[in-house]
Amino acid sequence: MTKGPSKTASALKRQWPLALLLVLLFTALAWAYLAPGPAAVGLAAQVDASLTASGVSSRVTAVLLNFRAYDTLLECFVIFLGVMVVWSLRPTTVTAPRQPQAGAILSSLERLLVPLMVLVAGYLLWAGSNQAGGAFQAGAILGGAGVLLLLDSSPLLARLPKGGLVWGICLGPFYFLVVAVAAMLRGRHFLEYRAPEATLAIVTLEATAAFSIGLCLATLFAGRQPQGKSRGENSAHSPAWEEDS
Amino acid sequence: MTNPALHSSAWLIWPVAAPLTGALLTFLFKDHSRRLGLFFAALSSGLGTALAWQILGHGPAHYALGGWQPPLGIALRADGPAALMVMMTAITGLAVSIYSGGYFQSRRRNSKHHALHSAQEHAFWSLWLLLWAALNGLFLSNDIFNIYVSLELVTLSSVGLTALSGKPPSLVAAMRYLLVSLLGSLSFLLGVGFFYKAYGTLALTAIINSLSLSPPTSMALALISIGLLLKSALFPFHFWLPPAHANALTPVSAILSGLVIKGSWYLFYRFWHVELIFTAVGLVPAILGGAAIIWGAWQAFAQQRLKMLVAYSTVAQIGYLFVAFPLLAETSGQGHGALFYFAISHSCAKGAMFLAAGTFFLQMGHDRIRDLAGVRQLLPVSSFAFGLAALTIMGLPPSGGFIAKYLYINTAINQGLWWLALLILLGSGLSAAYIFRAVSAILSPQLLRIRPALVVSASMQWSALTLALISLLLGIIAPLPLALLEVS
Repeated sequence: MTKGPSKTASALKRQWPLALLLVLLFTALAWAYLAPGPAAVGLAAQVDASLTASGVSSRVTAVLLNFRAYDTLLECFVIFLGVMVVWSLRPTTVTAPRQPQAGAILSSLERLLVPLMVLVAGYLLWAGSNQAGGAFQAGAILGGAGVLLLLDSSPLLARLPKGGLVWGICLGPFYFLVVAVAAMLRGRHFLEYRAPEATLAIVTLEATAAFSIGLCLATLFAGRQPQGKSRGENSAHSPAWEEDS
Repeated sequence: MTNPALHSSAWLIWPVAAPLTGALLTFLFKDHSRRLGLFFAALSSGLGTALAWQILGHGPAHYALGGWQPPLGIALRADGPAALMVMMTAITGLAVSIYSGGYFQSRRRNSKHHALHSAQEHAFWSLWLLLWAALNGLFLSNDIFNIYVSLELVTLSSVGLTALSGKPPSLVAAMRYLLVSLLGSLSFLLGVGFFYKAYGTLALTAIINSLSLSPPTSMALALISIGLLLKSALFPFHFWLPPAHANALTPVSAILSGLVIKGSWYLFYRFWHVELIFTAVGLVPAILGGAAIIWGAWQAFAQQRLKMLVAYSTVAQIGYLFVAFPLLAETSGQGHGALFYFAISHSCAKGAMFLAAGTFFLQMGHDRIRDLAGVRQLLPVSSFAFGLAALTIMGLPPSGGFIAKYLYINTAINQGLWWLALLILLGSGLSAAYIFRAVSAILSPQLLRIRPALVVSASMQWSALTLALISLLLGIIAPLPLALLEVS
């Protein structure tokens, strides 16, 4: 009872300059936000005007996958890049303590939840065309399902096709690029698609993106690239950087 | 909204789309990553050059992605400065890529850890091609939220590349770089929010053209500027740069110093080249730049390791990129010429310098300056490249660096900014001092007692020399890049 508060008090004492700085920053931001200045109406009216041409009836999906699809294309690459960077880090010599064997509760929970999560992800994907939802939400839920499987070191994981993971991760960004360039081959702009064929393009883009995002998130949870048996990495035990330049 | 002088051109998307495809393919086909990487590097370089050529011939261009015009959609825009930056990335990027081919091969050949070096090379090619795409996207984008996304791609791939060597100091540096850069990104994003609230559009040119200073817009500019200064490592935000640049793998050092810092600097220029702002706070970046020139040169002079010296030299040279902002107020456009000429010469020369320094490191097993004597005997081409690049960094004729500094001083005197002219002269003197320390060791007449076998490949030596020659050539063909810059 005595230790906790006094510790926080001394921490506060040491960090008061930081706290002061943050308060000042917050005040400045609030002042700038509330102060008079040019105020625009935003783009909602323009979004509504072009909604019929976009192929979907949800404004958010229309913005993310049609009007500003280029941003979403690059965002897909950001997630892909995250996996790439994590895999490029060299495995450390420190090994994590072995996970205790997953209990019966976890495995039955997994059997119960994973099929449901896949179903919910599919629903969110479909719902995205006319209400809130879409690739990133569905991908997050798929990623969660992947984490459950990983926690239990489920035998399902061992049955995945070899090299399938790498292709699965690349599928979303790759399909996005294919759709973008295919539009150009038909004499249109990069990423240009309009109703009615836009609906198909958007649904397939979302599905592949969700799949890859889910895989990427689960892979990020796993931490490092699963090692194939043929490629022995000898670096795990020898700090080879000593000879590096 | 759209300027009638702009023509629509699909060429704008290819310098982004080609390296993006390359990043995916090199990631997928692990066993062919070098061949694929070199192929896509050549392709991206060719497409970047083609774009610059087109802009020079046909004037500025724009491209509405998805066929949606801004403010609803995102547009790319290529004018003179953007095309020049894409061109710079094409040249330095290609030279670094050719160097990397030889670099990873040599390291693999001379090491027991084959699997390790293969894994490093595989990761390098995909990260580097993604970084290339993101840089081109940054230079060409005309949408501030899209610029934020491109900045994120640039940051994350640079951090990954920095950490690639796996040495503890480079991991620490990469972590620091990540934290500083994320802070910069958040600051930038907050500024984007303020701008959108004020103007209802994300199109950069539309915002800049209707800019008027009020509390929200000043806050937006301040947040964006601070974010970009953090990412550009301008003094006093430079602390993360030297360890990150000096401890990375050599091609990565050249990429970080030659190209990545130019990305955030270029954006800073985009936001700041409005006369309105010069009159308000134009001196702030200039003063910080002046401090960077002196502090960076001083630190470079004190370094014992060659790569650290070159990295601190970058800190000083970033100062030159910002010190010229008061000069942009002049209408003749000479200030812009000086600024961009400095950027492109520095990119080539610093790239060449890092590549040569890394070649010495790989050959000798260290880069202690005082023990480098005799290296010219083993690596005459690399030593020559280092010496030529040094000409540009010091600003001696006939190099590109000389043209840049001549334009700087000329413009400063025309505007009566004597202190600026003196500062630039002082900076040149200081850079001569630290460069001379390195060059005198490398070119010393002392001979090696034992002549070890050559472990570096010819492509590593010659790519550095080509880049150094280009930095020299920029002093002779000055009218061509300046003509490209004028396109607007």
